[in-house]
Amino acid sequence: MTPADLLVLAWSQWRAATVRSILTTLGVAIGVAAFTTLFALGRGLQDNFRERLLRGGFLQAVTVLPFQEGEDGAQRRLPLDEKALARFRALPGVHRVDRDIRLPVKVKAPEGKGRATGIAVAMPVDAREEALFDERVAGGYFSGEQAPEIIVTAPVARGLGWEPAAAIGRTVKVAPGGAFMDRVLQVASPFGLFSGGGSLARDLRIVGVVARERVGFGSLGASLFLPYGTARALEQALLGRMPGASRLGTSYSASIRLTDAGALAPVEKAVAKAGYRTISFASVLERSRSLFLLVDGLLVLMGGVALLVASLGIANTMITSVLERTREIGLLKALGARDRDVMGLFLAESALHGVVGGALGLLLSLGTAQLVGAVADAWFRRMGGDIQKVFSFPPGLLVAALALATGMCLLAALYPAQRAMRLDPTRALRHD
Amino acid sequence: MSLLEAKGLCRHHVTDGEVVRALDGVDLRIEAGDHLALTGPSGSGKSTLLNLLGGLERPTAGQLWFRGRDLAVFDPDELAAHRLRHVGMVFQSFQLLTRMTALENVMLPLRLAGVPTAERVRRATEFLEAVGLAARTRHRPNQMSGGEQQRVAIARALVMGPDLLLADEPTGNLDTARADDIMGLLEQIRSDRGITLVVVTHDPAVAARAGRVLKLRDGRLVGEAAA
Repeated sequence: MTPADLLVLAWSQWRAATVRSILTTLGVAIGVAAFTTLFALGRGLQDNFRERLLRGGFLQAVTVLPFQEGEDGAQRRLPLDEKALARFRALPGVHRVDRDIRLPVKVKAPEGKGRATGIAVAMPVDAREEALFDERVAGGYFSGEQAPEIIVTAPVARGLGWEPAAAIGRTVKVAPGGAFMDRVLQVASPFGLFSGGGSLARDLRIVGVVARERVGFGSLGASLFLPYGTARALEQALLGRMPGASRLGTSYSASIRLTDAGALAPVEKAVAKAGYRTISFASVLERSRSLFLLVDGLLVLMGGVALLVASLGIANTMITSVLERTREIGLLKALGARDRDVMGLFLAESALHGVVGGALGLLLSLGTAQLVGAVADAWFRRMGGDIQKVFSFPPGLLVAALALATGMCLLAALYPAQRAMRLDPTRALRHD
Repeated sequence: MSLLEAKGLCRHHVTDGEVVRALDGVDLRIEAGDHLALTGPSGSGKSTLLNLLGGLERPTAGQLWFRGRDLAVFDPDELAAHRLRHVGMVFQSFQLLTRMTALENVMLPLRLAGVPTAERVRRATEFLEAVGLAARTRHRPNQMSGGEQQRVAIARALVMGPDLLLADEPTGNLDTARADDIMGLLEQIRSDRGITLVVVTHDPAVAARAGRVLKLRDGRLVGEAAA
């Protein structure tokens, strides 16, 4: 019998027991949908996390800390000066190296319209960094390293009294400040440590507004962003007023930006060899791979249980079918069907459940993902965040799910099909 | 060369720990074109002999040759192919698949043989016409009378052009008039196509139509009469 004939006969049996076939196929569909959806959820969350990091360039960055751990376990501080940075710049695969600058600042809108405080960080000014800095809701990026410009988060803009779009082009006064800095200046001033006179405030023009604070080692919790040159000038001005506090807020860490993520491992290795400690999202991500695998495994396990239940349903249906069609099996054998034809017939029926159920399951899974994705997106937006995708369906997953459903159905039908194949035709023909 | 030749044919099986000699040393020769009736009381071994002749069961002892070829050496696939190509079977309870139309039932052996669809339809239609059911090709078994169902079963048995037609109580479920019709049809087919016909029957009238009547008792051949 040809495979096409097996399928035609399988289809005729499918139609003959419509209700049972539909219920069995639905069981497979639900099993496949559960498996696929849970798998896609695991992948989606991972992809979302990875994409977020990739989008921000975090997977192509290494933060260098000036600490060395001695054999006695004590930490020693190493200089993270221009000489050290120049060594890092010379490493292959390094795009640029910058000392991280983080300053607590106060921002004041003109005419007392509004004020805000926050952490300002320095940003490199080049096309690549501009491309990576992609969460802007209004405006653009810095025009140059020394440009008197600033980018703020939407909440800061609102704190200053403007909606994001209206904030673009406005000039604000930015001064080092915040609770800690105020305290330092307050304490230093009476002892002459603060060689005061004049304001540290600079007039900066708002050129961009981003949605939220940035997440990253160098810019964690930052709500204001300055071009490197401007940030450095502000920092120097502050330090100029504070002789004796030359290391305050400086040289704590440096960021190495890589040409591509592939350069990460050798650069990290070279920096570590020079005695510095490194932190990178990529290495954190690598270390958390086992956690992702565990989550994946658990989700797949849950989906697998659904598939297992579906396969038990298939086995039950096929055993019932063999019992009900004992005479038919005897007849087919009497007419000249080979054992493998009989076995093939039952396997084809089961495979049909697998293919139809698998396809339905995939549709169900994709539909569920759309629905849950939309609800999750709406919820995240309401909570002030966003999520790129909750579910991820790699093309391989769809093919694999269909193959898995069919394979599972074939496996579940193996015993019933063998039982049918082994039936003695003369006894089978006499079966009531 | 005879179409079928059996020597010391035995079929024993164990039921509830006891050896049942369903067939116990039958010698037999059937020539091409013969019309044979197998008679005897229930449990005499008629159906067992028929199943052995059709290659549906294997003998536990003895030998059976089909056109000089020993069926005992056939592997399961060869035996299945033998049934498909050389043997047609008609049963008392028709054994039609109720989910299929008359045409689809008749096409079943052609499907097993991998005959292309168009040829399958042509041949099945031709045989349904030959048994007088040209107008019933699209009917399902439950839409037909017992006589019509048996005609469909006969068409199915003939569609592969067998050398041997085995009928196990073919009129057992039919009234006298329809039984007469069916036997008339089988005889006509036998003479038209030169097929060998072996009929198992309890009915003396059916047996009387055969050229040779073999009587079985307790698994043994106890007599043969020529009509």
